[in-house]
Amino acid sequence: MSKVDTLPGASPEYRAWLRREQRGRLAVRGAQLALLLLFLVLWEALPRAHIINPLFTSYPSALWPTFLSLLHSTPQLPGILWHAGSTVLATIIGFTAAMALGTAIAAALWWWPGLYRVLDPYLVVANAMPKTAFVPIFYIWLGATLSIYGMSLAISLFVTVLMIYNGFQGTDPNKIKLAQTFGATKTQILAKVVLPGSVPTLIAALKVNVGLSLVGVVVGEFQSANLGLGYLIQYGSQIFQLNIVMTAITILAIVSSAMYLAISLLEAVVMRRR
Amino acid sequence: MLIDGHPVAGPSRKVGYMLQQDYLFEWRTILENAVLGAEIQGLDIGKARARATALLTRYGLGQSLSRRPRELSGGMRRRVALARTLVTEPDVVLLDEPFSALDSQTRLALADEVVEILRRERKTAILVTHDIGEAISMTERVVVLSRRPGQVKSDRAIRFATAGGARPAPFAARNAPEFNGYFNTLWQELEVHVEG
Repeated sequence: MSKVDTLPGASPEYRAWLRREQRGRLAVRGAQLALLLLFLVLWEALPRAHIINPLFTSYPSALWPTFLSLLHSTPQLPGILWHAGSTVLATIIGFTAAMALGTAIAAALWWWPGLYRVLDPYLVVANAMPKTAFVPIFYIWLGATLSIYGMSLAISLFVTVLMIYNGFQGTDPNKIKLAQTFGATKTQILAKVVLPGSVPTLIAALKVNVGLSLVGVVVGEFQSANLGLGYLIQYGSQIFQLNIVMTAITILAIVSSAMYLAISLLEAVVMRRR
Repeated sequence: MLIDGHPVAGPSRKVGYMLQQDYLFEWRTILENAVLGAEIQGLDIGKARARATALLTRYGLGQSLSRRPRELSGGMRRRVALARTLVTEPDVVLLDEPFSALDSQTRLALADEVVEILRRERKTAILVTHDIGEAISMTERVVVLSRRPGQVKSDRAIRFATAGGARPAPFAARNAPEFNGYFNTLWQELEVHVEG
């Protein structure tokens, strides 16, 4: 029995409408699932039928066995969970640093409008730059590990600054005026009005950053690491083991979805309190 | 303008403002909103919370202390804003078109309440308004300002002949025989021109 049928006192029209809504939602979920299945079936069938070269694509059915075989560390290659853990850790470090530094810089720009006017064109250009062009330079400057964190930070910092600064600027000027009628100082306005009012912007920035930081980490790992999913992808492609590459990419997809989901949960918790 | 002989140049602790809209912070509860001013002025937070709780309870919001502003109606939000102003215990309350954002029924009901609250708290209040009826019914003295530059055009005491000499509540004042006389005089002084 569905929830619709247990609703007491609902009119037949309302019940019918609810039922239609429910059917609509189910249809969308069904279509989404069917699309995923179609993709997996094509990915499995086309190489098997030798319509496309399996050497280039691997198969979905090869992913799990590859994963199991990669679980154990060998002298040449650490286990796959070590790779995944290293990538996740670097991503968390990257976006945490980007959020902290980005919020601090945005606050400084809010505090000194002249500073913003001077830096504005540089921020826009820095944001538009393809930061990945700096991967080799970061490697020279910062060494193997730090260059990965550096790339992760560089790729997400500027967009964070711009987003959060815009959030700060978007604070209702009347709320600031209200605080001023009580004699609020600039520090109080920042702490009691601007920052708490920008929490939705902070969460939006966090959502963007999770994806961007992961890009930075993986690209950094291509260049410099001997650990991490980016390294594993590089390694697999060099020895032409697409099974390894595809398994690593699948784990990346799972990891990024999980982190995005975690932030959505955080958002739901925070927004329910508003 | 002088308060206790000192000119008022900017925001002062002696003056409490009530703005056109409530501007309650949606991330704070009702009680937290009511103590915002006290918090900014560094007053004793424990005392401020007790005073805010007492004020809000008196305004019928005792059950809503931990609710969020979006759960409240326009009139309730105004009461929270008034409590927020009064928690800091200002000597003078400046009401800047405090009801302009409300519908006309809430407006009339709230005018009665606000006047009663301010009288009980023994606060001097300055009401800025474009509503002639509101000015007459809520105040004891009406000052008409001219268009820019704002010069004092007239300064008139408002008196109602009532039993016992007590001033009637705003809603009752609107029905007093003197009301229309004041209304017409003020209307003429305002020289309202409808453009076009």
